[in-house]
Order: sequence, then C-alpha cells, then structure tokens
Amino acid sequence: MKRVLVELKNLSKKFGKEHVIKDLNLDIYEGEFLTLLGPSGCGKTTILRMISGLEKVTSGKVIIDGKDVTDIVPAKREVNTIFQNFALFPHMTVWDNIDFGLKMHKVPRTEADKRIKDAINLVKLKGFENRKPDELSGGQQQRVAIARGIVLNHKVLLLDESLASLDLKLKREMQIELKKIQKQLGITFIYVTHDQDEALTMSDRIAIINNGTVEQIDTPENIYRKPHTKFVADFIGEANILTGKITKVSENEAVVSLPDNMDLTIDNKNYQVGEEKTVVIRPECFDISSIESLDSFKGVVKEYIYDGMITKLIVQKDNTELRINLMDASSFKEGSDVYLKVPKKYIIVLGDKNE
Amino acid sequence: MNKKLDLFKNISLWPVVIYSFVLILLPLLYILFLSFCETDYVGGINYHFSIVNYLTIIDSTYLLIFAKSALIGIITTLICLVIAYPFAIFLMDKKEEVRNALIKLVMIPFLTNSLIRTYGWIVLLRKNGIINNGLTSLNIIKEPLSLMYNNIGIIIGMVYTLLPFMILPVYAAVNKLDPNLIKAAKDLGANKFHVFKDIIFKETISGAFNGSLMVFIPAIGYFFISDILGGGKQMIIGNLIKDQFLTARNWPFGSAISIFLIIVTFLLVRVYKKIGGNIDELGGM
Amino acid sequence: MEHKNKFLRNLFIILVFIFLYLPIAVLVIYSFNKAKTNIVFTGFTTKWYTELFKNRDLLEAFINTIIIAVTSTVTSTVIGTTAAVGLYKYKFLGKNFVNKLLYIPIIIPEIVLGIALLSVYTLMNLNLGMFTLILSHIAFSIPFVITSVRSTLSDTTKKIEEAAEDLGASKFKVFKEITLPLIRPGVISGATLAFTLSMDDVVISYFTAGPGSNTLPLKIYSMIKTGITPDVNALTSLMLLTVIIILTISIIYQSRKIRKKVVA
Repeated sequence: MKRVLVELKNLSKKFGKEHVIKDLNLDIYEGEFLTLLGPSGCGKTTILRMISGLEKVTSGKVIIDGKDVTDIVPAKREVNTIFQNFALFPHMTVWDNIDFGLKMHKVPRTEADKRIKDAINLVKLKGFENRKPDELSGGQQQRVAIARGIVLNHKVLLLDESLASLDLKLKREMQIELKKIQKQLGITFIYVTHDQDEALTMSDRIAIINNGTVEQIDTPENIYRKPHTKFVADFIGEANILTGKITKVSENEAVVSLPDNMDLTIDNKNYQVGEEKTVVIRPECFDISSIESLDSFKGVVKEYIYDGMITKLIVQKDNTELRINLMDASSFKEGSDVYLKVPKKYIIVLGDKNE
Repeated sequence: MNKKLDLFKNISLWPVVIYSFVLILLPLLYILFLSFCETDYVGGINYHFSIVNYLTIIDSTYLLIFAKSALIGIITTLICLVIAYPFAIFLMDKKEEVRNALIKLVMIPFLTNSLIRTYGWIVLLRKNGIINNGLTSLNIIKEPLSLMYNNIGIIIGMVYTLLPFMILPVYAAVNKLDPNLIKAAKDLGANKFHVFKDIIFKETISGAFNGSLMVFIPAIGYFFISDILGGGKQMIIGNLIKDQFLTARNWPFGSAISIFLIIVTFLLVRVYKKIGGNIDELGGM
Repeated sequence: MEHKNKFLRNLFIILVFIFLYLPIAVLVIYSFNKAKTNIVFTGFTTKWYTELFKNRDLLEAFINTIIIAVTSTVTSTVIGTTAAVGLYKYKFLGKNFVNKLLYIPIIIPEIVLGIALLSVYTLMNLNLGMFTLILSHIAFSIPFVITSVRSTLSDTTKKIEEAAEDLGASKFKVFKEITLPLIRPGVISGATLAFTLSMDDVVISYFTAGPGSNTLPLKIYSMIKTGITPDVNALTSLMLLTVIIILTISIIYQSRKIRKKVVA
C-alpha cells in the first residue's frame, strides 16, 4: 500500500451558519494525482484552502507528511497552490515571480538560480524570463504559475480550477502536460475542478464531493462504471437513471421491473422480490435494432441529434425518455420504431457495494 | 501561532480606530453636547440642558440667512452642472492621454491656495478692475458694473472655487459610459437633447449628484468667499457659524447650527444613496 | 457642419480653462508690474521676486504652509494606506461603525469639522498653533487617502496576496512586496489629494491656527483687508511654476506608460 501523505480527519468548516464541509475524511497518497470533483458550491475549493491554510478549519485536523498542520499559517506549510486565474504578481517579471518563494525561504542564491532555470525549462518558458505577466498569453501565464508552484520542491501541489480560464484546445494540451509534469516530479497533485473530462483524463483517483462530503472516491474508471450513488452516476457522464422493483428472482438472475413495462434481467445479488432498486444505464450500453427480438422492448425515436463522433437519440418508451448514444445511427430517423435491449453486464444497480 | 498576523492587524487598524474616535467622533459629540448648553453672554458656557439654541435657529432673521445660503448653494450647483456636463462630454472626443492631461490641468489651480485665487477675482471684478476697465475702454458699458460686494460676486467666487469638484465626478461618470450606447442612440435618430436627457444624464445621474453634493455643501459654508467677494455684508451660514465661534463667542448656538448642517448633509447623502450613488465615490478625485 | 461643431466644442473647453486660470494668470501678470497696486500695468519688472526673498514674514508663512502640507500628507498617507488595507482585510467588532465615521469628514461642511476640532482642542487645553494645524490637516486628509487607496483594492489583490502567503511570505512581507506595489496608484493619488487639500485649505486652518500662527492663507486673509503687496503675486507665480513642472513630468510619464501599454 502507498504511504498516506495528506490526511484530512473529521474536517468541518462553517461560514457563519452555513455548514460548508461536514465531517470529511480523506487520505491522499504520496505521488498520486487526486481530483476533487463536484458542482460549484460543493465545498471542494474550501477543502483545498484548508489544506493550504488559507482557510481556517472550524473543527478536525489537517495532517501533512505526518505533521499536524491544522494551526500552522500557510507560509509555513510545505504545500503550494496554483490559483484560478493564476494570481501572478503583475509587477514582477517571470523570473522574479518564480524566485519569490525561494527568496521567502531564503534559499542560497546559486541554488535558487539553478532551481529557477530548471523550473523554467520544465514548463518550457525559456526566453520569457524578463517578461511581465501581462505580456504573456494565458497558456504562458499558466506555465509561470506551475513553475512558481513547483520550484520550492514541496511534496504537495494544490491546483484550484487552474485550467478553467483557458480555451478548450489549450486546456486539453495543458491537461496532458500537467499529468506529465506530475509524473516527472513524482509529487502529489490535488486538483480541484468541476469539469469531469478534466478529472477523468488526468486523475489517478477522483473524489466526488457533494454538499461538503465525499460521495465516492475511486479510480476514474470505477467512478464511471460503478457509481455508488445516484448523484455520482448523474454527475459523471450521461446516464439513464430509473427506479423499479425486483419482481422475480432465480438462483443466478433477477428481474427488475421499471416503469412503462421495461423488464430488465440482472445478476441476482441476494435480492428479495418487492425490493426497490435504482438502476443506471449509460447511453452507450443499449443494444438497438429495428427488428424485434426476444426480451426487447419497443420505443420510438423522438429526437435525433448528430454530434460528430456519436449520434444521440432520445427514445420514447411510453412515458419514459431514454438517452442512447450510437456510433452509427444511419438506419434510424425521427419517428422510427426501435427495439431495445440492455446486456446485463452493463446494468448498474445502485446500492451494490460488494464489488 | 497567530502572533505575527495579529501584529499586522493591530498596526494597520489601531491608528485609524483611535483617529476616528478622537478626531471625528469626539469633536462631533462635543459640539452636539455644546448645542444643548447655553451661552453666559461673556464667551463662556452654561452647562445645563437647554434647547434654546435650536429654538433660536427658527428665528426669522436666521431663517432668512439659511434660505439665502441655500439659494446661493443651489444657483452655484446648477451653474457648475451646466458647465461640467458639456465640458465632460466634449472631452470624450479627445485621446485618453490628452484627456488625462486636461483633467490634471483642472486640478492645478488647487495647489495655489483658494484665498489667493479668490483675491485674483478681486483684481478682476472690482469697480476699477480688469473687467470693468476693459469693458469701458471698449465702450461696451459707460458705468462700471457692480460685479462684487454683492451676490453676483459670491456666486462667481463659489462657482470658480467649486467647479472642479463638479467636473471630476461628472467626467468620471461620463467616462464610464459605453460610447456605443450614445452612437446607437444617435443612429436611431434621437436628437442631441434627447440623447443627453435620456441616455447621458440618466446613466450619469449619480455622478451628477455626487458633484452636486461636493459643490452645494461647501457652498453654504465657505465664509471666506462671501467675506471677500460679498464684502462682509452678505452673510451665509458659514459666516454665521464663524461669527458665533470667533466674534460673538456663542459656541452653543454655533454648535446648534453646525448640528443642523450635519443633519442636512446626512439627509442629502441618503438621497444620493437612494438614487444608486456609491458612497465610496464621494469626494474621490 | 461637423467641422464647425468641433470648433465650438473646443472653444467651450478653452473657455472653461480660461475661467479656471484667469484669476491666477492675472496674479502672474501683475507680479511683473512696476506699480505697487494691482490696478494699472505700468511696466515690466522682476523686482517683486527679489522683494519676495526679503519679506521674511511672507516666506515664513509659505514655509509653514509647506511644512504643514508635507507633514500632514506623509502622516495621513501612512495611516490611511495601512488603514485601507487593514479595513479591507480584517473583520473586527465595530468595523462598520469606523467605516461610517470615516465618511463624515468627506461629506460634512469643512466649517463644521473646523469648529468641532477647535472645540475639542480647547476642551483638551491644547495650545493652538502648528501642532493643532497639522493635526487638523491630518484629520481631514485621512478619509480621502483611505477612499483613494480602497478604490485600488479588489478581489484580485486579495488573491495575489494569498499566492504570496502561500509561497512563504509573512504578513509584513506580503504588504511590502506585494500589496504596496499593487496599490501604488491609489497611494499616489491619495497623497496628491492630501497635499492639494492641505495647500488649498482656508476654512479649517482659519479655526485651528490660533493667533500666533503664520501660514499663507491666514497671512493673505489679513492682507486682503489692508492690501496685497505684489510680492504675494510673485510667490503665487513661483508656486504655480513648481506645480506645473511637477505635473508636466508626471503627465509625460503617464502618457508614456499608456503608449507602452498600447504597443504591448
């Protein structure tokens, strides 16, 4: 097992009467890329600010590298932050921006110069040392912010929506580059974002934050394939979320009957007849055909949306709308009848925690 | 752990807290207290509660001075508005650096003292002053005009001294306007007066009120202008207060008038806030 | 048509400036007048400038005025700047009340502040003189400095300060290395404002000076009754010249900066 580097213990934060973080526990491993993902206002940035010390803790503990830092000022914590909009020092050159932390830590000049040069090389900013931040593009400013954050060689780097202000193409490039830098340096990145694509591409693990608590923490793949809660299923990717009752159980299989006469066969995991169950079906998991087959149910294509790589169909099954994504939907059009099936391995039943 | 943090907090906050209590709150509370005392008519103060000073304010002689001060203040404010608006609007044609330079030029006279500049007006306005001499030698007038030692002199002096306080907020407000807005309105065929009334004035009204406050309030208190250009015969509230403190030595009555002025000021500021004015912009230059 | 309009607009601007500069221009012109009265221009001379440097009383008044302006500007800028930052950063009991108090000197008539300060000085048995003058000028300048500095503080400032803290800077280092450079425009305009208000002031000085003090406004006030000598004109001209030189430098400096921004 990897070593725990940052430990959040029963962390709580109140702003006045508002309880933003509620008794949160989280272990973050050495060298991992962990993303705190959640909707705006879920408290993810507050968690990050409590780790850096910029926000005081109401109760609970922050432990970094085995040391309780709960009551230590940000300046004395061995973590650095890359802020949203970068917060570069506008009156200093690129070089001085990066040098600032080294000066504050009184790193000897020759050592400092070497580290600044290395950092500048790492983020590919050679030749821009004497520019001021307002003479740089958004991507270059981002690189300065990274260099400034890593030059102190701290074991943890906190990133607060750091790519949010970049345009889409640049964002993609920087995602890959950030991941590369993280691997190269082998330090822990704690990344806050509301952008699931970003989280899925870069992270080793994702912690889904909702209402000030951790909803689920897992690898990107498990978060997507095995969401534990409705919130996670809905927040990550697209999902059809339906609630019904178990109507039949046999030794290995069970049938869950969803509204509008949709019966789905699933693996039996000690279900009881009559038990209420919520199932999640990802839009790409349907078998769709214009010909009826055994166990299939009929629907009508209500909307046909061409979206480049995939085509999105909205299929009306009585009163239920199902979202279906297909690579090739050329044989369907709005109004055509379709027959749907879902292979049981693609049906996610919420509440199954035994995996 | 927070010792250092608290040190900075203390250093930055204690001076201003002490200052605001000792040099703002205490003086005001003290004149509030004085306003409820009585004079002993030999320059001293009888420390017993009385509202006689406030009753005296309602006396007709004083009410007349108040009305006249208000009138002078209002006329001064209106003239300043009428000058400042076209000035600010016409300035918008210029490049940013030219505008900045011209606005600084508006401020320069302030670095000489306002008394010196008011004295300059004596040289211009008096019977044998430059304006009268010029006009008579050009045969435009036969008899010299009475331009000072009357209300005209006071208003010229007030407008002159206070005009920059109107120009700066009005300019700041006009400067913030979206030029496309005015262009669009002109394209829609709105004539100039309507563009001004419906767009420029409407959007800059808090700037105009800001300027009006910064002109009107000092205008009722600038005793030295009415002293010099009004010739001492023309009293405004400022002269009245000054006399109560320095000549008549009736401090309680002078304090009561001051408290009355403060109340008027607060009411005006309240109106300013109501029309959407930002209190932080008051007096900002 | 458009051409004519433009001419009229420029004419209006010029007329406003003539109005603003006329009384000073008159004094400058008469500072070169041979006659002792400021009525008829009888011929060119520079003798009033040499006369000025012999008039110890007038020079002393001028120097006192400068001492008051400089001392009160420096003090109110230091207190006002740190206060603006502190009031922006920290919460404390009564902060709203202090903020409200700080608006009072800006909005109430100067004469009210003048007599209120005079009353309190008397109450405290302070002798009126240079000390009370400086104190009074500080009193009315601080709120203007605070307002001016406050306008340059923003959420961005706060975030940049946090970044510095995060990189290991102490509160004092943050203030010195980050905050101060960021709010410099506000500090400069606040200080300029404080200096200008102090130089221009008549009302507050009138009440808080005391009989023995000799400052420029008081000196001139007493001279207006007896007659102003042309060496005052000379002094005014020199003051104006100094101001214009300083301002020209700052205007050139500023427009260079604007141009540089445009190029970048």
